[in-house]
Amino acid sequence: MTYSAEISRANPSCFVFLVDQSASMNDPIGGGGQRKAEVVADAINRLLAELSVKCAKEEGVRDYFHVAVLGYGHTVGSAFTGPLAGRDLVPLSQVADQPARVEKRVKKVPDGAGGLVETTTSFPVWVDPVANGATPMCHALARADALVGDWVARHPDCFPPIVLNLTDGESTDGDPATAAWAVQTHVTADGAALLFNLHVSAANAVPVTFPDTDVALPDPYARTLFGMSSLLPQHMRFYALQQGVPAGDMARGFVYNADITSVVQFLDIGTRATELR
Amino acid sequence: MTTSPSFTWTSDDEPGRAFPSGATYVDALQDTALCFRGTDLAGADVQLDALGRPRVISGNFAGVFSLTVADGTRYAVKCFTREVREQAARYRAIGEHLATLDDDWIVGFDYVDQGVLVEGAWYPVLRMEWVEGIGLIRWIERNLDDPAALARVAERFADLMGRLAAAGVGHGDLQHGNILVTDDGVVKLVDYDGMYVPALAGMAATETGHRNYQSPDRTAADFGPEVDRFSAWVVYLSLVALAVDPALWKQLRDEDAEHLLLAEPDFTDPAGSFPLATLTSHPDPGLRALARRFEDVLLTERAQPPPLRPLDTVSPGAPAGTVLPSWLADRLEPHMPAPPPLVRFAERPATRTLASWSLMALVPLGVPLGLVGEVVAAVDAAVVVAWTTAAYEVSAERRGARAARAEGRRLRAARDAAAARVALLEEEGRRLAEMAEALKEEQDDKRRNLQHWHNTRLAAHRQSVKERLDRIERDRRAALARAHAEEQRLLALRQKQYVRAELAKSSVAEVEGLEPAQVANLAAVGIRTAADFVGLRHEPDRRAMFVLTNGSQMRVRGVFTAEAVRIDQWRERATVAANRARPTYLTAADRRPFRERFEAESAALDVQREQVMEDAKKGDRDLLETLRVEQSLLADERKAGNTSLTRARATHDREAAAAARALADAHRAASDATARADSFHLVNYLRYLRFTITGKG
Ligand SMILES: Nc1ncnc2c1ncn2[C@@H]1O[C@H](COP(=O)(O)OP(=O)(O)OP(=O)(O)O)[C@@H](O)[C@H]1O
Repeated sequence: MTYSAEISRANPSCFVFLVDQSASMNDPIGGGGQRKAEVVADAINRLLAELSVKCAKEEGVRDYFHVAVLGYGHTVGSAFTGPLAGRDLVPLSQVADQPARVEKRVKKVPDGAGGLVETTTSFPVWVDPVANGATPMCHALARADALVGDWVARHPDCFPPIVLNLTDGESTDGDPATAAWAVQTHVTADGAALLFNLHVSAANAVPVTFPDTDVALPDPYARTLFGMSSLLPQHMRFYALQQGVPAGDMARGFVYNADITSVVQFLDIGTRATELR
Repeated sequence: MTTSPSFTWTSDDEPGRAFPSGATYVDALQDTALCFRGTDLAGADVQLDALGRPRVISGNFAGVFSLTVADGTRYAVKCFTREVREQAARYRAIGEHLATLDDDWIVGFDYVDQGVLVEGAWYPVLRMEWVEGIGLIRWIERNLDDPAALARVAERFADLMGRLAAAGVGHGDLQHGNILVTDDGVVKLVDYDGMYVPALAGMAATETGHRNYQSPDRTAADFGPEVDRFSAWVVYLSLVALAVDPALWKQLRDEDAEHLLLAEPDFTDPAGSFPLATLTSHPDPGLRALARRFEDVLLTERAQPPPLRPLDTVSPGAPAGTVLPSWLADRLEPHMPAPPPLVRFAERPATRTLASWSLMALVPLGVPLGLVGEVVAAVDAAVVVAWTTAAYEVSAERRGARAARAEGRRLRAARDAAAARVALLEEEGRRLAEMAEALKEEQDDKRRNLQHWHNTRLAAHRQSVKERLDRIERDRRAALARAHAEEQRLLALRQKQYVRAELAKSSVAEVEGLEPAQVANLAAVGIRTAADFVGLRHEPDRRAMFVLTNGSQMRVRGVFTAEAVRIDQWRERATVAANRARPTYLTAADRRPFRERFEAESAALDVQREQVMEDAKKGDRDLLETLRVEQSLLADERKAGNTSLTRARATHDREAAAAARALADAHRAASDATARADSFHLVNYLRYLRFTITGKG
């Protein structure tokens, strides 16, 4: 069975996040006032926080994963700001300990009694919103390809690496599909590397989570990204179902204008849940 | 691999309820007044991490936070990240059952249905006593230098298992993270999510436990008081082994591994397990017996393991302080065994000795004395040789030597076979590496070729589009040229018409010096204006003739050549003047039909052009689509190739490691056997003779 390797410090896996930082990310996201660049930076910071929490144990965060965040816009390279700036794969414990800063964010939340109250949460930030230049998605995928290839050579038995691409989809350096498939040809004894995509779009279309066809997708960019995305491994589909997301047999790791932090929740560390049959 | 059929969740079930993620709880718990509003925990102090956010210990199903309320009581609050069906009912049953037991492993808890408010919705929490204890792995690491403590905890653990069984309780997920040891060595169990109590009989398990502690055969249907048996063996065996020989901790497991001494691969493939082999052949007899018992469980009773049968006593070994790190230990021979002592003849069989003696004594004495004939002497000598040889052959030492040599030969052959296997596997390893290289090259080639074909197809497509566009432009230019030419023709006509009209306005009477009669005569042949003739025709010795507009020629009475020439010059002057004033362009009305026709033609060409562009785009798309299909097929092929290669490599690596271990063992066995055989080098016939005679071994 694939995608069932134990994720442990002795046999860690890796995450490569690709963040679109092109000029088009300055546009607002469909239906909302927030700029796409902000949406994507928030998503990536949330993912990093989620991953750190997921791997937090008694004595601190464990290096179950090594994590790279690559930005692509006017250049392609590490998107970390702060102490990790310029680095590619970083052990998770270091990521958890070294955000650039911890912001205080004030928001209004339901008070459980029908009203709203203001509350402050601290929000660690590793990646800032950036938007300039073109969208060299192929180049970014090629970098991911190299990192994943190298990782797989060094950890031939690990849970397959996951590449998560956050973008508005408009690659300017060619058709990204080829580069996307190349990433997914790297395999460990436990299966092929996974490529997931989060598409943030200016179109005010219905959000889509883990679809199994591209018929409901509003534009060719979304369809291209859908086509590039790996099938969700079966245990991830199981968790998606458990979380109320109807993910079918052919569900892909693709999300359109919706939340993708759930993929972190899909990772199995430690005790096994009973599985879907 | 381990899969477990599910009885709790099927695709036909309604989709579950989304639970907050760990990080969402971390956000929510930053405001305990809000998130625990109306509960006992409202406003409690949450323990923070280095970034000043609530510190969480995450499991696969929940996050556990440490909260201290106003009166100083500290709680462990478990917030669930996945929905578990009937969780409240399960916890109620568990709570009720545990309340009837009064045991020190139990951690008190309350299951609070409306426990925590997250983004406007209430979720349950499990509020537990905070256990001041540390997880089993960290506890072991701190106590490797205290084998007595390890032995004590092993005993306590075994005891605890007995009490659980007696109480009809199954924890369901015994593993290092859920076994906490307090300062005074009390073993506490936490995480009752998967616990079985008698009231839950007939339900299925919600989880199948930690992979490194469970039988590969465990399914969700295994849910009863026996559910912990397998993991109990795993934990107990490890604890005993560590108490006996703490050095095993570093020898048998990777630093940071998420298991004790044994893990999932040891359960699925006991025959190939190095840790298990080490334990089953350990010099300590108690540990060895326990390990062998567990090996039996693995081989024959994996699906339904028997209850744990602890040792009567565990005798703690030396602390691990002096132990070499495992990487170094691997490199050193564990010990250089002293060569076995030389074997000498030890026991003289009395009767044989006597007989040999007498026979041997006879010969030297009898022959010279003539007491015995030479034949007899010869026979006697032969008998002595035969006799002693036979005795030598059956002597224990001789038999031992033969056996030792045979064993040595056998083990050396085994060693050579093991070496040959290692060499074979090395060769195979090289072959696999070459295959990987070749596969990669081949795939890169194919990828390049695909791109190349695509480029070629694309170039051909673009060329044909370009040709069609060129043709359209050519047609458009031709239409424009035609319109232009026609306009020019019409302009020429209009100019001619103008000149004729101007000339028609003149009168020959204007010509100077013409008589009225001459004018009349001219008019008589039709020449009234400059427009009525086109020139003169001269014939020698005759009067010049007028050439009329219609081409006819005639002489006019009374008009002589000199006058005719004057009239013609007048006509020419008038013509020049009219030409000078003729229109140089067409009127808008004259031009309209041409313009309109050209525009119609051009519009038709625009439609064509549009079509071509449309076709071009579609062609581009189709080609790209084809390329993608081809590439995705190629990627699949490559993935498949890499997968089978990785599998082959994994198998190979496993086999190579096993072969290397086997070779090391065979080496040791062979050299031990050689040493043993060598220890018999004093055992030979001559020495036997001497021994028989002198009694010196
Ligand atoms: N009452 C407690 N006191 C102190 N620490 C606790 C307590 N309960 C749990 N913990 C700590 O929190 C960790 C996770 O808790 P728990 O095992 O209940 O979560 P889980 O999501 O069910 O995890 P698992 O993946 O192990 O099933 C435990 O390993 C333990 O270290």
